Amino acid sequence: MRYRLSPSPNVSARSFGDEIVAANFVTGVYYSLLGSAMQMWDGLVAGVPCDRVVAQVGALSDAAPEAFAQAARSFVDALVAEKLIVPIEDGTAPAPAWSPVPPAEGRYAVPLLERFDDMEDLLLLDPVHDVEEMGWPHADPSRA
Amino acid sequence: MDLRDLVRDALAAVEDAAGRERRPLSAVAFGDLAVTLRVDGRGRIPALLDMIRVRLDAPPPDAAVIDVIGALDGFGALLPPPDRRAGTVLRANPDVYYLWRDEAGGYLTGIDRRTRRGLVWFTCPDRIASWHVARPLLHAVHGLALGGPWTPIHAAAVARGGRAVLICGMSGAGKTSMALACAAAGWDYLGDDAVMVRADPPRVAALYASARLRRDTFHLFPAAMEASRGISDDAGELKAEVDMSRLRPLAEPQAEIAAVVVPQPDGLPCGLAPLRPSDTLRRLMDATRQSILGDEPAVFAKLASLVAGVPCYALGRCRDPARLDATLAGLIEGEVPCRSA
Repeated sequence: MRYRLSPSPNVSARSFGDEIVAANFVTGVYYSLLGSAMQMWDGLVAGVPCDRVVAQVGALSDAAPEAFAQAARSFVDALVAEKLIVPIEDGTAPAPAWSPVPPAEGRYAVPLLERFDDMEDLLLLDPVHDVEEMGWPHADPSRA
Repeated sequence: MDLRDLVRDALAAVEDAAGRERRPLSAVAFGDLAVTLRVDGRGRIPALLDMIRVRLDAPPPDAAVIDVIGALDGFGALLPPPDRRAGTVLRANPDVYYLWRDEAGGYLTGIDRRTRRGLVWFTCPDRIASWHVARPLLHAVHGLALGGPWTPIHAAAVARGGRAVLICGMSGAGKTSMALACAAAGWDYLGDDAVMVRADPPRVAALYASARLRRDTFHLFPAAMEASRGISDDAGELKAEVDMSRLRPLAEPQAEIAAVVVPQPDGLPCGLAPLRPSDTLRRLMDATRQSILGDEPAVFAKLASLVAGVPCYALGRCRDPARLDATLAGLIEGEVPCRSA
């Protein structure tokens, strides 16, 4: 399976060298990806097959292979559930050249998706409504 | 009819009315964004001009144009349907910025981004909240800023010698107290709640001369209270509406951002500790979304570039103004804080 960054205009991500911050502006939730999570994100959004990403990042981890693979599957499932990445057909395009960056010292832990949802309550208090292209009075059901 | 066309038709009608009534023009600047303002004389609308920090002698030919109005006959269709008016309605895309809020009896901002023309319509011009008088046209500025490097944010800023400290935090975090304490110590006051920023190079620009002091802090800032235009009472919250331009003129309305600080909750000792850019970005975005709505991906990209290039710190609450002055002065002078996070 391959993935790519969500095409939604309401999802953004930015790398700060040792950390990736992603945000979903519909839900108001922010995400932090460090260590192996950042490496996996890099590989996944580059279109590298998920199995290869898991194997290559897992090889840099201090976790047992099966434990890492299980954590990596949960991590990818979480990225999909949070609508940060979406699956794409494998198709016939060759997989891009990619390899994870080894940790500066030691070995990676299992990947975790850190979630910051402190804005959710604020959004509920102050709802923002989008409308469809044709204006009133049609609420866009996809944003519900 | 498409909402964008509604906005454009309304702008044409406003243009006609402004010409017939010979409404006066004012040229102002928000960062590098020059705007020609035309305001009608209804209710409190003329007061919206008072707190805008930078006035221009004349608008440049490429200035954006904003009409501020209290009535727009025949354009009720521009308002949300009645069942949608109790709340916020937002539409922001490359063509149009449309924001309806049910505050102040109903307040609408409509910007045609292609032509850089817009209107701000207070449907009850006698009931304009003091928040709007202190931060006039903030959403219109936001609506006009999409394509440029600047963006308005919810933050305070003070500067010395052309270098500024950006103070980021949610409402109630202490931004106003910190900015006024620094102003009392001789810093240039760029804003306590809303400023304009950009990255590459990192700069901050004053938007407003206003400062809004909570009642429990009146006694701490006697000089600022001397510059108060009055005490407002929005929904039972008393605030002194201070006009900082009455204290001293602003030498330079823009400054280089030397650092971003995020005030921490009470209980931590006064001092600085490095803060990750990611944490700072989240705080900036969260605070900004409290009052500035729409275009989040663009704002996120601009603020991410800003925090990636500027040192960011958590700031333990400094109740002693001299300690605060010295702490922030160290940032301006490039001193590296030694307390660890």
